Amino acid sequence: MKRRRQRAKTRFKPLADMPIRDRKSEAFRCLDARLARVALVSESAREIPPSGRRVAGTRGRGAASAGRRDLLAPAMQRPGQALEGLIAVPATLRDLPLTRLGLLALVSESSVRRLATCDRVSVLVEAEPSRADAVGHLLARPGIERVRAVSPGLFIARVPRGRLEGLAANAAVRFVEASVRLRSHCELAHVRSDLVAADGKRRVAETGKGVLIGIVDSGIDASHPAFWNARTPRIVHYRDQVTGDLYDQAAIAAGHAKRSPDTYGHGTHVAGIAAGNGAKTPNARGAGVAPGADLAIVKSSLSTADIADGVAEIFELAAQRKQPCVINLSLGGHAGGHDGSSILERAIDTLCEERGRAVVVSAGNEGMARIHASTVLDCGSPKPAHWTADIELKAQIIENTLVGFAWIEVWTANEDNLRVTLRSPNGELFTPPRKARDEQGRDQFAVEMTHQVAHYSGDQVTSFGIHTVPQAPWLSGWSIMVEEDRSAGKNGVEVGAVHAWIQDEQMGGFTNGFARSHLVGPPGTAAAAITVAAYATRREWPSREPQSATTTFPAIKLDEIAYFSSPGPTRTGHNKPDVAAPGQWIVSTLSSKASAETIPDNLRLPNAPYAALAGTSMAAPYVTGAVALLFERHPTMHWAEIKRRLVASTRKDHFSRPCWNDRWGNGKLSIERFLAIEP
Amino acid sequence: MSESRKSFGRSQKPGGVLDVLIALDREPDDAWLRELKDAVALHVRRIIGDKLVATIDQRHLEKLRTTPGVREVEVATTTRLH
Repeated sequence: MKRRRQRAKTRFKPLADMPIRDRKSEAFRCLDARLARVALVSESAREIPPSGRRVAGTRGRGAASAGRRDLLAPAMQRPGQALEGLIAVPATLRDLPLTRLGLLALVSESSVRRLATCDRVSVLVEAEPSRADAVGHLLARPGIERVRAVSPGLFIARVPRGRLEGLAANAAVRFVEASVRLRSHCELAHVRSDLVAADGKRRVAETGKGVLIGIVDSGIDASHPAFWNARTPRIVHYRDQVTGDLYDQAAIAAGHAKRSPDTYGHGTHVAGIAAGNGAKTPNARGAGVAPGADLAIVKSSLSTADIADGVAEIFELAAQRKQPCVINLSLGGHAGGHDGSSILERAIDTLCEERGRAVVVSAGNEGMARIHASTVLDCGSPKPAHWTADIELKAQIIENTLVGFAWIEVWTANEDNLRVTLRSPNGELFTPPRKARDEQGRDQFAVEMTHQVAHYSGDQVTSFGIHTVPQAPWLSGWSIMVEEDRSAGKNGVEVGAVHAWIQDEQMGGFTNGFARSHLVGPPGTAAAAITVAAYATRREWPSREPQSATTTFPAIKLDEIAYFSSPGPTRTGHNKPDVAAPGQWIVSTLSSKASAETIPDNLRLPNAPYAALAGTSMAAPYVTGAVALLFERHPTMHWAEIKRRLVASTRKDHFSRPCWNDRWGNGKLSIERFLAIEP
Repeated sequence: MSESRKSFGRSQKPGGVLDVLIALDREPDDAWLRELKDAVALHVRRIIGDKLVATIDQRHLEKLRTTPGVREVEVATTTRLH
């Protein structure tokens, strides 16, 4: 609907009908010859209401510019750049009779030049309602080539330049739009993160040469051309933790790594964002951030122990190769204190103590999940403080059995005297013994419960495992109850902070008491980790799906934080995430073994081994690649210095609002500033 | 029911073997580590400063927790790709 209105607003009178002063209007203002931005014509001669019918009237230049504002996708708006500077077309185009052609897209200089010089122009032609047949006949006339109906009333054709105006003036034609070459998504995201300029040229000289990028993920398609330099693989080490197999560079060159395929496709996509070289894309536009870096890959079971092992293995390899190293972890969970105190997180901190090492972690995709509930209990209130959070479990298949299962951790301050109790749907109460474990079984459900004092933080954690039959009333009606204990010798509430997490949103969610904060989970809460949120830079791309040439998500607001991006801070109030980067949607390398279930056809690009995915998983490798570029320049930089640079170099705008905040962290990654700044 | 409950969300290998992360009071020396391995049949996969990545038969888990020099033991949990 919105798209239709946009098109209607760009319908213009034929030049012949226009006063001379309007013909010479500010239709083509050339502000930057390298970047052609939208809108070849002035809107100054008319105003189009939402109905699409034209009404008479003249607006001034300022009004025209203001009117243009709502025609533009936010992707075209750059912070600090006046919208009056939208039209930037080489002067040669000024003579083209393109008066009814809308170019609502970023187009490259070469596209504009082609339009200016070619005899025929590829166009999309939209018919007025129920005039499709008339337009079809119109386009069937001699001289018009390659006519194809895309959908009822919408045609693609190559039209002689001199006949464009006549075509646009025909009463049966609603709209004519020039077909232009769009920038690939990855490149658009690169523009947003200040890696490449609008003309597609990189803003930075570094490519990550001499730096090792580690990826602990679902594996990699080692045969993908984006990870090869001519006949030499750029992957120097590929460990499959599931089978135990290790492939060195020679084994990969010999093709042995196909025994450990990336059937999920996640790891291959992540690696392409961080370090793909853009093979099989025009002018390597699908290249990642650090296309000159070496790669070390660990295909992981994703258990915390295997992740720690994989990170240590890659850093040991980097030490042997005498290379600085940054490792990407596009993964996480919700077991633990969400305060950086898990052993995995402290292991990451330990490993990053050496200079020239960094770990980048995705913030998580639980921005809309109801897996966290929290409160702050009153201190010294007349009645004992009390809080309840209700839980609804989801039926799920575990080991081929449909069950209801949830694992819940409740974290309270060491100073507080609180009783944490689980209430079942039939009203039974379960409280674990202090610093001990208990298990209770019933006909319809079983409860496992533990109380312990966390060694590192000293805080108290009470855990409940609920295992139930997957039918009503046993899936809903569970509650966590926290009560102040003022029995003899106890102080009751002193701090009062209570946080509860359900380990995974597939297990269920809180139906009351939930809070959309503190959703960055381990290992993203590690002190040394650079934790990355995601924002939107793309909402459509060409699709391999036979029924639809383009996959579109029109509701996505470009430049805005992704709805799924997990907000911080940590349970102890530290700033996480650290930074935001493009993550919704990103085009990157596609594993040839990725299943259609995980990456369906509408996410796959036609004629190239690339696909679009979204997630903070896609945002993290942007930062990983950026750190690799920094390591090329400063190979012995410490993670704390890297973070200082990040904080000082991020871009803030009206989307991010003042930073730090719990969604955006310190703001949007700006790679050019990140490399140049000296905080 | 009990077995699936215990294994879900925990990294458990066949035969009741658990992946664990261990925090120690200090960086281990070879002799101490050998004793620990013998005492609880621990298979140490990696040493990261004063932390270990290891596998252990779950029957020895409580003994490992109470071994002098062992500060914390975390049974590995599963994570999810983002």
